[in-house]
Amino acid sequence: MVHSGILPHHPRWAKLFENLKFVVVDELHAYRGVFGSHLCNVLRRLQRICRHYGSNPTFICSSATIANPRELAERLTEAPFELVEKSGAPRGEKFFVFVNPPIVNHQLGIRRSYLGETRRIASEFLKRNLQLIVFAQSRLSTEILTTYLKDDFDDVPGGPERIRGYRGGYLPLRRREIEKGLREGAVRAVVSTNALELGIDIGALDVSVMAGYPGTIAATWQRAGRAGRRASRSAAVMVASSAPLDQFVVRNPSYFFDATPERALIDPDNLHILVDHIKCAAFELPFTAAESFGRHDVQEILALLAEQGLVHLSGETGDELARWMWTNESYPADAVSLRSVSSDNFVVVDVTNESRVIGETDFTSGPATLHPKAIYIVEGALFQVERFDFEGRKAYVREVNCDYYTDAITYTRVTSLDTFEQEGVASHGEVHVVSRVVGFKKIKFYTNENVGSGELDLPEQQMHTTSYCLTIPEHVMTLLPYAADDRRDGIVGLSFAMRQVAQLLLMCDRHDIGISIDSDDLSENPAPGVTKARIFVYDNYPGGIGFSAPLYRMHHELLEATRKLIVECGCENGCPGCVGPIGNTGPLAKTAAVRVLDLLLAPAFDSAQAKLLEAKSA
Amino acid sequence: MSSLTDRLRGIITPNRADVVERAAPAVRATDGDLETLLDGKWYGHCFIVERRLPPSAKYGRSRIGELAARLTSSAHEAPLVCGNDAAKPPFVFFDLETTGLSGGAGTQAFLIGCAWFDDDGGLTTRQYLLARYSDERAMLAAVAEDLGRAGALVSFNGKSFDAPVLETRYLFHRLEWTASQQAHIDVLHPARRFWKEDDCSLAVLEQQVLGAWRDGDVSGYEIPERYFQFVRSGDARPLVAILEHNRLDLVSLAALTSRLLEIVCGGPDYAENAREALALGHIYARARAEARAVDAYERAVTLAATSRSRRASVLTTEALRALALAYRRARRFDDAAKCWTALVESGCPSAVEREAIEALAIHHEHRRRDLESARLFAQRNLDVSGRQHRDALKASAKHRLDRIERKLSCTDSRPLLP
Repeated sequence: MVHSGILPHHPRWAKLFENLKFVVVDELHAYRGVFGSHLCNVLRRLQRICRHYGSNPTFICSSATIANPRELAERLTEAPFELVEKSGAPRGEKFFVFVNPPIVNHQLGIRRSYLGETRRIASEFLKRNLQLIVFAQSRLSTEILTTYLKDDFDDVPGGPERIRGYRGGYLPLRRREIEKGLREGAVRAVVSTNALELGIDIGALDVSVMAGYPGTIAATWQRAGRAGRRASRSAAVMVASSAPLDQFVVRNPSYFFDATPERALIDPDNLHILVDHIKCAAFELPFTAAESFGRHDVQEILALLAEQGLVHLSGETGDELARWMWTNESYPADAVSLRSVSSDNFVVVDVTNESRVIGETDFTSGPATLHPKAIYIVEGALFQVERFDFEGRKAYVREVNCDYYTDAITYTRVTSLDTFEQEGVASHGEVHVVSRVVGFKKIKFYTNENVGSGELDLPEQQMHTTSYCLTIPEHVMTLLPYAADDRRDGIVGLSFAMRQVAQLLLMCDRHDIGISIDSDDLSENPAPGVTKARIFVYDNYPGGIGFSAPLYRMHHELLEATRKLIVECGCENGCPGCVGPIGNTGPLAKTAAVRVLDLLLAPAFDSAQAKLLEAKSA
Repeated sequence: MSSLTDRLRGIITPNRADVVERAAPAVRATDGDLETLLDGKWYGHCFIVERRLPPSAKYGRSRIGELAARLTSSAHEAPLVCGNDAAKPPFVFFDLETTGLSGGAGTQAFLIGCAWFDDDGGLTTRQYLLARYSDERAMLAAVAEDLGRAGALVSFNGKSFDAPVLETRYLFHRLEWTASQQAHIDVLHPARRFWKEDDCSLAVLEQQVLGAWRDGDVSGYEIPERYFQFVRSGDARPLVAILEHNRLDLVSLAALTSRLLEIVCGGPDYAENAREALALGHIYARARAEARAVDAYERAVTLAATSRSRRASVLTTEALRALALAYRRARRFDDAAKCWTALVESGCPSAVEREAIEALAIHHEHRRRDLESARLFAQRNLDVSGRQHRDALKASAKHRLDRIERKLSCTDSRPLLP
């Protein structure tokens, strides 16, 4: 509204802007990443318009618990803030329980399925007639858990109907109905993704059960807060999955209870985002030849926009009256979506009876969830995709009765375009990421057996972003006393562990970063001999969102912590808690990964040594 | 070249083929060139192009002087057309050329054209060109004076486009927008009624109604880009055609207004065809000039009967229906009934037929008190409503039929008085 309705039409809101005293930003913590970066630019535009009308409003922000509310507020509004951090609100007693599913196979380090464990715990609460919310990590696990819970109450009249699923992609009407059911108590349990984490009024529930660690301390508190909002007794249960981060948290509860929560990061000067908002701002009010907007040189950006004919400098540079006029017919705010980098999506059409739309999926995750033969689940009802119309952005599905779900296999290739900084084996810079869904696995409900697979031929998705890159030089590879397959396993295992540690160090959501390995050993036609390998940890947003530079600075910490995670893990040859489950990686993955890290971390490993080794290997 | 620029080049990709030439423009117009090319003059910060058509000049089928005279003699009817009693001469015609159609703070009116008839019957057009961005405020202030003199502003689609765009510009510069208090005749809506439903553009109307033709007119979608070319290069040549286009729009607007008020003032006899007569009736009816509306509709029925137009039957239906309603408002119920009967007999579309039959049922039941006939119409009404699957209509038709039958049975059982 402010972005595309009010700011571009500010003359009609002149009275408002002239008298604007306060701007309130609620749920500040939600404005991080891409959304936050957009919001910061919207606020820059708002402040610009306010200056035009001679007002200078005060910003008031409220936030859930994050480490840096003040810093975030100051970054978003680019103004100094006073922090009020004591809460006087009454609070009921709250039990916080961490559950680590028991190990069922010591050798392989396999624990009982955390989804199964979540289901058992949720059922117990339900039987005691407590209203609860179950948070799952993904849309898929939301649907799986909904199915399981409905099954548990199949023999109770009206039981399954009172257990609902909830996630992005449901149509608004269905969502409103579920929210109302929760507030009124008709719905006894809802299984949700982070869609119900904040913002939506569902009243106070008795218990919040989290299937898997939400990834950040802030999100965990937010989800726990869905239970017991009034001064009543409540409980929050976190069931750890076998992912390294979950295992770390459940073994070190003090990390969660004592450590400061995450910092919310934004990068308002991401060029993709900044340029979009500079266009909007130029439309709203011509820039002067001396004006600034954000960290980059706006004059240089305007000069480039002028080459495209979007703006034109009227008057001479240095002239006080010179202005960058908007010289285009378009209305730029319409082309900028604040929540994502692209506003495209896919709709899901059920053709079982009369065609009807039953859901939608954002553009990026479309191919992975709606590919042909994929099982699409809505509140436990299973549909199979009959036809995936990529160009038309539609998937046609038909209701089916089967006992498996599908999991897409995505292949990602990262190419380095430009290096911003480099020191030794670490660097960060700009990369090109191409990902393609190449196939899928059929996985049986409950047993998680792999019961089949298929190949797919779908279009690629591409983006430019920034990335941290770890190079494992040729001579290090040479020093590994293993066969090519085992070397490969070591690198794959190392990247698996590194991703988790990076997420912990950056304190970001798991979807914020992606990982990819670039190695000849991994290609179909490996070059003869031993070659170097590279591990990319990239920002999973076009243009990057500011993770790669901090990660580059924490390079040593990253390697040390990764080594610690792997070495201190109790398993023999790798498990989901360190280098990944055996089966995904080979028997020597753990050993090889540690060896690589030892070599990279060895104090003697300086550049002179490196050259020497290089010479030797040559 | 800095690294920022390099990185930006990857992001800001050329979206169209029309990437602007960076070569220095061959013509960097000086203020003097502007005056020569466009034949205008600088007045302080305003660049103004003023033209005058003498009374003897011909535009389409008429002379400017005739148009002026007709407008003067029919000006007192202006309130009928614009629905605002305050509308009176002098009329100031206005028309904008803008940098886009989307509205908002980034859409500018780079050319504001005003026109008025002079006392001697000539037509003056005055066009304000935004030659330098920094002059906009001065230009708007000058325009406000011209518009402020008007007893009524006259535009073509100005109520929904030109006026809001101008208002935004005035608000942008913190200037007062006084035109919202002035009477404003938007000729588009009556023109649509009188002359053309679809593609009711000025260019079409001036050919059809005024008999005027333009040569080498610039098309609307080219206009913003031509202006941007001028802004970027300083070369005023692309503007020549735009100024001419705008000037002709103003002349056509003035001529159309003159013709429109002439018909409204002259009444049904001035209507050349059924369509004009019908439109005239609507204008009178809206202004609650019932007697004049009846005259106009009667004329429309007559003209439609002899019309050879493809739309003759549609016009007949529309005219008869409008006339029936006008008669009813004038409490001439028998005349109204004749129109409804004529409609039913003419084989009009079923929705109108249903309305006519219902009106006749009402007429016979309540006015004529001829219950037998009323029952026949009520029965037909029920049949027609049933065919249309409109439950609410069907229910009300049934209700009416039942009531009439009840009344009939009362009448039957009542002993006849000697």
